[in-house]
Amino acid sequence: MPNNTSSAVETGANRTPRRRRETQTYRTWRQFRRHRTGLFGLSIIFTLMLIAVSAPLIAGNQPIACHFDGQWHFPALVDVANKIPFLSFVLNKSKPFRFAGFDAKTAVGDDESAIWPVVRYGPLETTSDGLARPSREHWLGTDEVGRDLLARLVHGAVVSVKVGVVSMGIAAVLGVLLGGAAGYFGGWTDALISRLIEVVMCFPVFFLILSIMVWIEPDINNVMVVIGLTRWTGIARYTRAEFLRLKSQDFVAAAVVSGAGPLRIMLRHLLPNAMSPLWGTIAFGMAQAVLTEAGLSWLGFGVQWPEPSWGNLLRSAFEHRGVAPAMIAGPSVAILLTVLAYNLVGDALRDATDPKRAATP
Amino acid sequence: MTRYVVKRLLLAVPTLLGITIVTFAVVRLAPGDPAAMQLDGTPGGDSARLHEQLRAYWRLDQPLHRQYAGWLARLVTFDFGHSFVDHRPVWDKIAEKLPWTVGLAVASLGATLALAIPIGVIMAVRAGGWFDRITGVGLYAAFSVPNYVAAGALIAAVAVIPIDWLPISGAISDDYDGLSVGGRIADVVRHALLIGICYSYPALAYQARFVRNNMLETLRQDYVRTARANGLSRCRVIFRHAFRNTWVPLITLLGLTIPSVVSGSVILEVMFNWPGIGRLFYASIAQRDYPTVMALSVVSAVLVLLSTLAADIACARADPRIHDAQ
Repeated sequence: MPNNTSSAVETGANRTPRRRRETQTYRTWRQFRRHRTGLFGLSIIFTLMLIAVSAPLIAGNQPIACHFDGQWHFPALVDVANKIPFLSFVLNKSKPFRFAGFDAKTAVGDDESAIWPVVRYGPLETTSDGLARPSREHWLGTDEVGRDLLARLVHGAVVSVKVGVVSMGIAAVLGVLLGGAAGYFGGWTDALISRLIEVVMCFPVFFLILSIMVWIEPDINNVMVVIGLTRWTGIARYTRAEFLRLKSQDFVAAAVVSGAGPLRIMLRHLLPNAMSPLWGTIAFGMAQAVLTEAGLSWLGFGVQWPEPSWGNLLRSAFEHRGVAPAMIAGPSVAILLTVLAYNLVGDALRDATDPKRAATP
Repeated sequence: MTRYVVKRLLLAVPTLLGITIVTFAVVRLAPGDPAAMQLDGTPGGDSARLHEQLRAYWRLDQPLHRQYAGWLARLVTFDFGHSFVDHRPVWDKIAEKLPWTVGLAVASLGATLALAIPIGVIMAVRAGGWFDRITGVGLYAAFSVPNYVAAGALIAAVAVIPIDWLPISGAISDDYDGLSVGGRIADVVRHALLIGICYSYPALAYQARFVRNNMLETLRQDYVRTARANGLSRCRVIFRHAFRNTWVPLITLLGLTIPSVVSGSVILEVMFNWPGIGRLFYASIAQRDYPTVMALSVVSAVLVLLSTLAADIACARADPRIHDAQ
C-alpha cells in the first residue's frame, strides 16, 4: 500500500513537470509582457533608474578611470559605489581626488590616459560663462552661474527616481495596512478608517503638503515622507474593497480554522490575492509623486538650491525665460517623459489585471 | 430625493469636523518650532514677537483640547483671526481672492465638459476610425504633459514672441477701472485665457477618454440595438439612450478630480500671477502667516467637500436608483 501511493505520486510528478508557482502577481506580469506600450514605459523607467544610479559616470568632473602619478584611480566609480548605504563608510577615493581643492580636470592632462564621463562637468561646478546657449561644450547650455545644465539634469534624476519609489513605498504600506484593516475587520474599524480616508481625500494635495512643509525643514527626505503620508488614500480604498470581496471566500475560512491570526491572514492570504489591481494604482501614484516633488521644488519647498532637482531646474529656467528660453527644454522633457512612462506602465498594468479589458482589446 | 440630500448633508458633518481636526493636528502638532525657523532670515520680524503672536493666536496657556475647541468655535463664525503680516482679518483676505479661483475653476470645468463630451462621443461612435486614433494619441499625450510644464513652456514662448493682446500675468489690466462693462469682461477673459487652458487641458484629455470608453461599452448594450431596430434616429439613440448612462460615472469622476484641480491651482496661479487663493496660500507660506495658512487649508478642503457633495447629489438626480436604494 505505501509503495502504491509513492509510485502514484511519482507518476503524477512525471506527468506534470514542476512549474513555477502561478501567483497572481506573476500572472499579471505575464499579461503585462504582451503590452507593447507598457514595456516601452518600463524601459524608460529602467533607463532613468540606470541614469540615476550611474549619474557620476555620465556627468562629473572626475574621471571614471585614469592613470595618474603612476597609479590607476577610479574616482567616479567610487562616487557611484558611495551611493550604496554602508559602503560609503568603507570606500574612499584614492588620495589626490578626494581633496576639495584638487581639480582633476587640470591636473590630469591630455598626456595621461584617462576615461572621462560624457559630460565633463559636475552638477555644482560653476564656470565663467553663465546663461550660455546650448553648444558643443554645454549641450543644454548653462545656468546663471555657469553650471552645466545637462550635468544638473542627469544628477536631478536621482531625486525623481527616489521620490517615486520611496514615497509610494510609504503610501503603499500605509494604504494596505489601513485599507486592509478596514476591509477585514469591518464594523467600527471600517467606519473610522473610511471617514479618515474621506477626510484626507478632501484636502487638495498641495495645500496639505505645503501646510506640513512650513513646519519642517525643506529637504528631500521630508518631502518623500510627506508625499507618502498624503498619497495613501487611493491604495487604501482599493485594498479595502478587495479585502471586503475576498474575506468571505473559503480559503480565508480555511486559514481561520487552521488558527492563523488576523495579521497573517491579511498579509499572507488576502494581500497576494488583492495585490494585482494595486500595481496599477501604485504606478499612477509614482507619476503623481514625481510631479508633486517637482512642483514643491519649483515652489522652493522641496530640494533646496543649489542641489539639482528637475523642479528647481524648471524654476530657474522660468526665472530666466526672457534671456535664455532654451533652459526650459531639458527639465520639461525629463518630467514629461517620466510621467508618461509611469502612466504607460500604469495603463498596461490596469489592462493586464482587468478581466473585462483583457477580453476586449 | 429630499431624504437622500438631507442624509448626504448630515454625513458630511463628521467629514467637516475631520477636516478641522486634521488641519489642527497638522499645524499644531507638527514637529519644529516656528519661532526658531523665523530666525533664518525670513521676513516678518523677530522671533520674540512671533512667539507672542502665536501665544495669543493659539491661547497656548490652555490645554490642547481647549485650544482646538476655541479655534473651532471661532471658525464657525468665520473668525479666522488676523493676519500676522498685514493684520487684516484673514476671512477678508480670502473672500477677495476666492471668486478668482472659483470663477476660473467653474469656467474651465464648463469649457472642459463642453469639449470633452462631444469629442468622446464622436470617438466612441466612430471607434477605430481616423478621428478616434489621432485624437486618442493626442489626448494621451496631452494627459501626460503636466500642466505646469506646459504653462512654463507657454510663458517662455510668449516671453520670446510677445503677443500684445495675450497677457501672461495678472487678472486685469492697469486701466481696468476706466473700461466699459464689455471692455472689463473682455479684459478678464483675455487674462484668463492662457491660465484657463493650462487649468483645463489635462482634465479635458482625461474626461474625453473616459467618455469614449464608457460610451463604447454602452453602445454595445442590447437596448441600444433595440432602439436602433425600432427605427429611432442615430442621434436620438446616441444622446437619449446611450449617453445618459455615461452621465453618472462622469459626474463621479468630476467629483474625484476636483481636489487635484484645486491643488494644481497653487503653481499655476503663482506662474500666471493670478490673484486667487492658491497664490495667496503660497505668499502666506513664504511669509509664515500661520492664521492665513490654516484658514486656507480648511477653506480649500471645504471647497472640495462641497463639490463632492454637489457631485453626489447630481448623481442621485441623474440616476434614481442611487437615492431609491438608500
